[in-house]
This record gives sequence, structure tokens and C-alpha cells, in this order.
Amino acid sequence: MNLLPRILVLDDLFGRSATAGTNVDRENLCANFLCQDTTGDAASKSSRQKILRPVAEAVFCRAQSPCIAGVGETVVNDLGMALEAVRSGWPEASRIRRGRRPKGIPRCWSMVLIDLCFYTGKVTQESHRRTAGMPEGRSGDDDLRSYFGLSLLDAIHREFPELPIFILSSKPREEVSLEFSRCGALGFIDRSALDGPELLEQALWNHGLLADPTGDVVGQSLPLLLALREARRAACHRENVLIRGERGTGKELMARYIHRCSEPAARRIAIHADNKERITDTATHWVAVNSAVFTPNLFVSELFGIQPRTTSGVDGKVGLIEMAKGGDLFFDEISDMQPEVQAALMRVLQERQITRVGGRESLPVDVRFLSATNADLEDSDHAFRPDLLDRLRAGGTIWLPSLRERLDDMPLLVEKLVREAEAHRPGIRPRQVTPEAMDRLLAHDWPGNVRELRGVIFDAVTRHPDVEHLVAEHVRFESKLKSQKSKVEAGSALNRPKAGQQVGEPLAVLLERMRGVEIDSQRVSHWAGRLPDLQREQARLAARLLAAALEATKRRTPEQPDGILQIHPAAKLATGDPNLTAAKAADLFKRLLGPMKDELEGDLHEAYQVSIRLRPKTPKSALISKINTP
Amino acid sequence: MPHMEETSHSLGILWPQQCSLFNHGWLRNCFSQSLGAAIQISRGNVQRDLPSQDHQTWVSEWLSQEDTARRLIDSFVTEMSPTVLFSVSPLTALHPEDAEFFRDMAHTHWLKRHHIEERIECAKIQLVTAGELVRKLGRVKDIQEAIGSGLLHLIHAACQELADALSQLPRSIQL
Repeated sequence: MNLLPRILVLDDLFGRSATAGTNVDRENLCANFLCQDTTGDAASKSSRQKILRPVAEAVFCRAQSPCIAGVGETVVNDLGMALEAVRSGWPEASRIRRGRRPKGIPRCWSMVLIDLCFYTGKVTQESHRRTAGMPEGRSGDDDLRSYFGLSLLDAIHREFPELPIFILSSKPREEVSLEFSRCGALGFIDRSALDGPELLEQALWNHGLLADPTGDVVGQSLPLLLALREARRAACHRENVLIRGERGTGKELMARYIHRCSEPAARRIAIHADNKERITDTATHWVAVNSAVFTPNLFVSELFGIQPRTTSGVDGKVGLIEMAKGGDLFFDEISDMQPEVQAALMRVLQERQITRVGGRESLPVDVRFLSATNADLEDSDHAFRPDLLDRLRAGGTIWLPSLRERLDDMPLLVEKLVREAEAHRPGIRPRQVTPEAMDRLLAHDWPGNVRELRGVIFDAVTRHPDVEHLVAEHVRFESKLKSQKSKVEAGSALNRPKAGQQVGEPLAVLLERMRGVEIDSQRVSHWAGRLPDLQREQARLAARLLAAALEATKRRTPEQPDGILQIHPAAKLATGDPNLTAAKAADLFKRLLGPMKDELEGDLHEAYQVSIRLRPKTPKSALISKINTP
Repeated sequence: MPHMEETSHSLGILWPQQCSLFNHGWLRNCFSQSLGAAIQISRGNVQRDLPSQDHQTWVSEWLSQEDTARRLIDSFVTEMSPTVLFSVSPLTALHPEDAEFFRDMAHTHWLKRHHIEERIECAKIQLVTAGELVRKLGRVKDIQEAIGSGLLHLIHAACQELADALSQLPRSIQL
């Protein structure tokens, strides 16, 4: 997929088409700025050059009539032509109505570049000899009080306030700096500078509407591109950033994008997709954590770490803040942060230093905090400290659009998710999505956003592994699945959640559904003999919860960065009981994991073995359970 | 000191317009762009054939425009001095003796206030520098030698300096 930035250049000299075909001046400009001419007119088609590592695709427009002027003809400025050219690359999200496929919608302009001085008047033999098709010029053309470029800028900025516009001119910048700023231009590029590609690249990085060339963040819709631009701007500094958006909009993905773009080498590679490895392997630290895992008892050691003590034999532990040193610490779902944790974090942000548990020395904090939430934290019901909120968004707030607001991205998202779903299950047939299926997807409200879309696509693909087309009938939405689904997630229930994975929301939904399940239908065949199934799935779910708790409470040290299992803190975390004894914790693991001990793998298997060693006797509750089980 | 009858815009069109055609229409937007493109080609960023004698095109282009630059610089004071304002209303209503006095004073002030003589001198030096470099380009064997010697970069930089120097000259008649 072509993700090269797409720019529109409004310029009389470079935008003109010549009767002879080649516009040498445009060709030279493209070479100077490493832009690929995709105008599609005679001038671009007859180009003799190839840009080997282009910075952008450029479409040229003269903004004057006629486009091709011969001797004797009069050239006049044409604001309407310029506006039409801008409109052709500015798909308004509102144009995409629900239920209609966004077919044939052009990509957004990443940026518009406007010349200042447009020469008008008659094309004379002399002016044509100097530059083919150019008029002799009128006295007001070159008057900075009446530059047509400024009129263009003003008109375009009024109609397209979100569109980034730069002046591209050979005129002295200082002469017009006030005027172009007033009219809405974001900057000025000197057309005759030798470092043109670098200047353009920097302008695009700071202000352009650019897709993510790595493909991690999928989409080219205007709301998404605006959010990505905010993220790149946030990446330029080390202030804390808050990411907000509905559930399932990809807040952690955006946080990772900020982290990636913060790399010194990111500017070039954020535009070009030719070095993906360099983009994904960042040099600075990235630590992601769900704020809900911090309980009042555990958060201090988790955040600040533990000072090793040789005399008492206490092992040291590196805290999350230290782990993220020089990089980013991502707090997901900060609305779930306990008041005690908020207070501690507030102190860290104020003092910019921490002290390990049991330690005396203060350690400086060189960490940027990226936070995410879908909650209205300003609402007093959330009990979120306003002073902490202010500090967490000191570097800005990035609002992620819902899927409803970026339906233009549906085809790209669906394509990616279908391929992912196919890759997830080997041997499955590759398929195409029919227009009717796409219409059905576009007509949905998507309260769960991209995460919900992912579930729907995976459901459609895994239920129909042997077909070549994903048709409308394969698409089932969550509301219709309620009564049909027996499993919440595809795949093994014992899969350990990955670090930072959002578990709070699906679990809350699941519990709510479980409470609402009614099995008193008249059709006995529906529920007869299903008790073992229910018990098995209940055990799997509990095991998965324990796996998450084990992961969250691992003791991490520099020697063992993957962490060491701790069943006691994990049991405390999972139960929410701070007074739980170590023996009871082992009993809990034995009781919950015992029924499925033969299926256990990894951490759960190890945790079960540890609990067996700690508590070799069968707990009373299990005996009672055995007695009651036929 | 220019007299009223000498301010007849001998270049045919107004000086600022003529200067803009040279400085922006040709020097920055055509000549410098062409040199810049060749530099990008030499860096391997652009694939385009550069005929071995292409450098002679730049030389002949420069020689055809050099005289225009010289005439612009030389005629600047005559064309743009505030003395021209004394040949049009309302200053024509002044008594001839008063007009002469004020004209001389306005001209002297203008020269000092806008550092005209220094700016003109600077533009002349840049024109000579660029001209010498282009003539040197005319003596190299082929385009490869021109690129290898770094001459294109030097000429590009000299043209930028010349263009900047011309831009420093006032573009409107000011008292």
C-alpha cells in the first residue's frame, strides 16, 4: 500500500502545463525536493526522471486559467480552480454515510504548498521565450500587499481549517511572515534551498497528515491522521501525555506510536516504510501496565522497587519506574488507579525522584508517563485527583476517534483483520470481503470500536474456514451473539494475558452477562448434561484470572527481567484480600487449578506445583467438594 | 545625483518588476533549481540522464542573463531613489529651488538610511563572484568533472548570495 505523503502544490510556474509536454522547471523542483510528480498531466507524464527515495508525492496545480497558455493568450488567477483541486483530496468524514461503501475516496492531502507571486497578463513573444507559457506579469502581481498566494491561503484556510498549509516561495520570508501567519499558514519553505528534502520532511513531520508507514496503526481517515499528528508533536518533548478515547479505539497502540516517534532516528522513518525493523525496535525503554493491578498493598514495591539487603537476605526488585528509565511508562486505564496509588504517583511527578522500599537513597526519575483512559476523569464520581490529571496531561491530550468517526478506514481495517484471522488458523482459505459484507459492517454502530470489529471478523473467519468469500451472512454482531456464544474468547482459555492487555472491560462485560444468563427454558435439551461444561469453562476462566495475577505480581530483577512467580501476592491480588495467608493462597491455587491440572502449562503449571509442595494435604474445602461430587 | 529627466525607467518596465523577473523568475526558480536538481542527481537521489556537456548550457544561460543583473544593480539608484517623487504630483507644486533642496536631502537620507551604497556594493561583489565561478565551469571538461570538483555547489551558493543581495534592495520608492 502506498503511504507516501501526498502534497498539493499551487504554483503558476511549476503548475503550468506546457504545449511541448515537459515542464523542465517542475521537473527540477521535484528533483530538488525529492517529490514524485503524480499530477497526471502531460508535464508529469513526459518526465524524464525517477525519484529514487521520494519524500512525497506531489500534485501540481497552476491556479490560473488557462492551464496551458500560448502566445497572445491572457492568463488570469483562478481561485475556483485552486479550491477544486484542494477539494479533490479532502474527503470529509461526513460524506461517508453509514451503509455506503467508501469507494473511490481519495487520500487526504498531507499538506498544501502555496506560492506567493502569481504572474498574470498576456503571454507575449518575449515572456514565452523566457519561460514557455508564462505571461509578462502585471505590476500588482509582485506586490506583497496583493499577492494572489495570500488570497489563496486565506480562502483555503477558511474552507479547510484542518488542512496544513505551507508557503513555498523564493521570496524573502521576513517580508510576508506576518501576513502568512495571519492567513493560516503553518510555515514557510525556501524554494531555492539546497536542503529542500530535509525542510519538506520536517514540515511534514511536524504538521503533515501522515499515515503510520509501519501499518501498526491502520487507517488514512482525517480524524485518525489528525490524532497521529498530535502524537508526533507530543513525541517531540518529554512531557506527560494523556490519551483518551472510547474502549477499543487503540489507546495503547497510540502510546506505542508516540514512543516509536520519540526515537532520534524516527523522523525519517516515520515517513518512509522502507525500514520497518528500525521502527519497531526502539532503543529506549517501554513499560506498559494496567493501572488496576496496583493494589494499596502492592503498588509501592511495584512502582518503586525493593532495595536488596544482604544482611537480611531480602532480594531486590526493580520497580516499573526504574525499568522505564529514559523511556516511557504507559499506564492503561488510569481511572482504575486507587487513591493511594494516585497520591504516590503525584509525589513522583512533583519531586521527580523515587526511593526504593527499604532504601534510603533517592533516585532521579527520567521517565515520561503516558496514560490512557476511556473514562470521564473530570467527573467527580471517578474520584480522580485533578492535580494528578493536570500533571499527566501536561504535554497534551490526544483524543482518539471512534470507529464511527473513521468509517473511511473500514476497508483497510477489515483487510488487515481478515488476514490476521486467516494467519491465526493455519490451513484456512484466503478470502475476499464482498461489497454486501462491507455494507453490513459500515452500517453497524461499533460501540466496542476496532476491538469489537476484530472480534466480529475473527468470528466470521473462524466459523467459515473453507470459503473464499466473506459474505454479509458471515457477519454477526455482539448483540446477536449473546444467546449463542458459549465461549467469550476464541482460542485456549489458558492463554496468559500479555502485559498491558486490557482485561478489565471484557471481564466486567462477561460477569454482567453471566449474571443475566437464564437457563429455565422449556427445551430441556438445551441445558441437560451441560453442568460439566459450565464447570470446565468456569475453571478455565478462573485459571486465566490467576495467570493474569501471577504475571502482574512477578518479581523482576535485573538478573531475571522476565520475573519470578509469587503465588502469595498473586492470590492476594486476585481475591482482593490483603490478609490472605500464604497457606490459604496455596490452597486457592490447588483448589482452582486442580480440576484441570493435566492441561496446565507455563506459569500456571509452575504455580500449581509450588502450591502442591507448600500444601501437600488436600484442603477441607476440596474434600467437601469431592464428597458432594458424584 | 540623478535628475528628474533621468528617472525615465530606462529598463522599459518598473525596476522592482524587472528585478523580480530576474531574481525570482530566472535566478532562483530556474537557474538555481536546475543546479539543485543536478546536485540531487549527483547524490544518487534522482535517476535522470545528465548529458556530458550539460554544464555548457548553464554557462550560456548565465552569460545571457548576467548583463541584465548588472544593469539592474547599476540602475537601481536612478530608478528607485525618492527623487523620482519630485517629478510627480504633489511635489511638482514645490518651488523649483525648494524642490531641488528637498530632493537632494531626500536622496542623501535615503542612501544612508537604507545603506544603499553598501547593499549595491554587496550585490556587485556577489555578481562578480558568481560570474567567475560560472566561467570556471565553462572551462571544465564535462559534467562529471563539474560535479566532482564541487563547482556546482559553489555556484549554487553564490547564486543564493546574489539573490539574497538583490532582495535586500528596497522594492518600493521610499522617502
